[in-house]
Amino acid sequence: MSLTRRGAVVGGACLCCLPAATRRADAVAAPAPILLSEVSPGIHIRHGVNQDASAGNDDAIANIGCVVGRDAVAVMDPGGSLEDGEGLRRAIRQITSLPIRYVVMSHVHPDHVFGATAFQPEHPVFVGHARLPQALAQRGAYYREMLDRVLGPGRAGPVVMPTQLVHDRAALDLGGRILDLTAHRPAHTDCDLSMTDRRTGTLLAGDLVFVHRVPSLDGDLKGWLAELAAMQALGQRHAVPGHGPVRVDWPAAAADMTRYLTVLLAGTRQAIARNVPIAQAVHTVAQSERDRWQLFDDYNPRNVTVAYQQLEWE
Amino acid sequence: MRKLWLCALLCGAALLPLTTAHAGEDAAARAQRWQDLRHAIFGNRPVRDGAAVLALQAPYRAEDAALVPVAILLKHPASVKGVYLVIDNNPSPLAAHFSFGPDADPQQIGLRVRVNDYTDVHAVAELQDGTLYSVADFVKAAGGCSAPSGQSDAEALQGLGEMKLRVLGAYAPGRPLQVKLLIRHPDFNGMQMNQLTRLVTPARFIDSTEVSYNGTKVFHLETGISLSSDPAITFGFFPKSVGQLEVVAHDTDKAVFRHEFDIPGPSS
Amino acid sequence: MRRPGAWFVALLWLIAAPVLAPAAAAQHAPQDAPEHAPEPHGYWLGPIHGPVPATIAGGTVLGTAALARLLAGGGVVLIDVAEATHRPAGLPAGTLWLPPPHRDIPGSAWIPDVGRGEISPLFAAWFRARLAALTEGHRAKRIVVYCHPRCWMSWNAAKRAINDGYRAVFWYPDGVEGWEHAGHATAAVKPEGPGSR
Repeated sequence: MSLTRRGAVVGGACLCCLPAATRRADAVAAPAPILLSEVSPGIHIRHGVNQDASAGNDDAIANIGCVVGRDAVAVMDPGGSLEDGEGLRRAIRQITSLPIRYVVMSHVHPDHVFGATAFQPEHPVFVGHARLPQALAQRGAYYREMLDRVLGPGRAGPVVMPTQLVHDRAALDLGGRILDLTAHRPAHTDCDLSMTDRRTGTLLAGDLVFVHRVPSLDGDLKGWLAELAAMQALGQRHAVPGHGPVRVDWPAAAADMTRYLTVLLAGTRQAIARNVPIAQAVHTVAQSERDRWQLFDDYNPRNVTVAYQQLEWE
Repeated sequence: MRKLWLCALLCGAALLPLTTAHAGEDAAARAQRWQDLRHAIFGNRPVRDGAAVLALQAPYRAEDAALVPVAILLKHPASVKGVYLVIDNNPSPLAAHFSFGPDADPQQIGLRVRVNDYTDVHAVAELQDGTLYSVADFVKAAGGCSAPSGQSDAEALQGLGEMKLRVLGAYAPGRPLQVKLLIRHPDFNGMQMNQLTRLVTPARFIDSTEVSYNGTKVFHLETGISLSSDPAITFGFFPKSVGQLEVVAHDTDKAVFRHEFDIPGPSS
Repeated sequence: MRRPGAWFVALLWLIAAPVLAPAAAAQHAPQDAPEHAPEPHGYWLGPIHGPVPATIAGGTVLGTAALARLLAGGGVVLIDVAEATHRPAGLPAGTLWLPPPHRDIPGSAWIPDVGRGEISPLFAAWFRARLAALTEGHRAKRIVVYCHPRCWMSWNAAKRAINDGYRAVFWYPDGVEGWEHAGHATAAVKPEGPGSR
């Protein structure tokens, strides 16, 4: 009930206010090779730059990567554009020739899933939250057009639908290596998946966790706080956030996010109680957090807008 | 850096990237657009500069194009019988038309609207004698009409017509009181296509709202698809004594939603 | 933003002429153009938005840079066949519906709907007459047809011109958005058509 009906387009990649395409100065060449870091044995992650999507970064703005088992590989997430996904696929092929059996799509935002089409030749199972097909149906084409505008016609790639849905929990077996998936209640979006590697205890959190870059709210604020609390109780030692360093200590890395979301919640409730109109609240709520997050001015006002609409019905 | 904007679903075809009217639009084009709209809405009636009559507040850059808060301030509210809000570059540009009743206090009116592309926004006051005065402001936002809902149509219709009233001041008999009325309604604009079904969600939106206090009209509001979903209308009225604020809202499916709110309400 | 970027060079390689072997240009994406559809035998009768061909038999496919060069030389007929915005069903009859002007490549004739898979004989005849007028009867006059990316309308309309005997028909699949993305100006335009189709 408290899900926002609009602002759906915002998401982790702020497509509503994307900077104009910045053309690369160099002539066309093979895309720069993607650098994977092995954050835990067999878990390889590409760091996403903390920027908004642009032609210069190919929407490679999220942390994406893979987990390698004895028999197969799982990708999570496939990347932000056709080119980003293809770069990831090539980078994976540099380290293993095992089949890519699963492509896990952590949520609907384009910076995480528009690279999926690059993996289609591998014929993987595309895994997503049970609500992901609906979210992609509602917004996929819109995201694609937005991305094409920024990256150039045809560069976003088509929308790929998941073929295996997770309603609550699922386990993926990569051969002697099990990945446990959790379908979350509405939090960052209404279709968030997280994944835990049993072998190393690493939590691949998708955009449920942001570090350094200000979190973007496109789901449910109270729900996100609840899901974060639940994830901290898992006992994992390390996590891969959707944005930020490729590996962080867990649950220590949750502290900043929890503080920000709590300040956002309290500040927005207070603004509503004091009858501060929404146009003003976006400039005043959570200002104490301003110097602690990258891209704060780009996303915090939007977060306040979403929170305000949800909370004014309380 | 110039920002690129998009209105992907406007043509009712979700894959069709859409107008970027602002991309080449200059002051002359915007002035021409207003002339066209003025004539379409007001015919040949003169529309004068309204700087002495009203003011318009809109964010220069909107955080969410589907929810742009706009405030209209009337400097001599008793002399005004109605207000029009026009979002020039929206395909259905007449966003709202208020007609005030005896119990209205329209010093300040607030609405949330969808903005489809960089645009001038005009507020036009109609005085009791029928003369028209306008002011304008420029808003940078885009995609508001096409922004897909985060929910399925069925989910979006849950709680249809529920209302909440937030009282923004303290009640005192005979003193003006500002309130904010919230109505649950997705305000489907008929331009959003669902990719799975390939069907356009049919338009269904609140098209008129009547507010009265103890039986006396406060205002009649006509709205279109430029109004945001879950309308939030801020307005003032004169409660001469304790009583009830009655709201009757109609949507284009002929549904009627009624609520009464006690004034003063229960303390919360 | 002003000068065409590297990407358009790549696109030119892909689509510049039917004679180029597609594999020769492969460098960017996994299957270069993963979303190209085969050319239909006649006009495309399916959904108008989706993967379009990389070629058009009897015509030439243009990228943005090539189009800009072509236009710079002058003497080109530009035809925009983008859809006009339609009033949503369910909008009350009295509601003002007035979309802002459509914008496209300056100097274009905007003929919405002539790219549909099936058009009435009346409309087809009107279009033939319009082409004759725009080209002043010269079958070798260069004609460029476009609409939007991933839209079949311009392919169909270009095909109609080819079938009508025009020998220098160009199809510009990147459409208005591709033109704008490269930093070129657009102009407002009014639609034309026979009035009834």
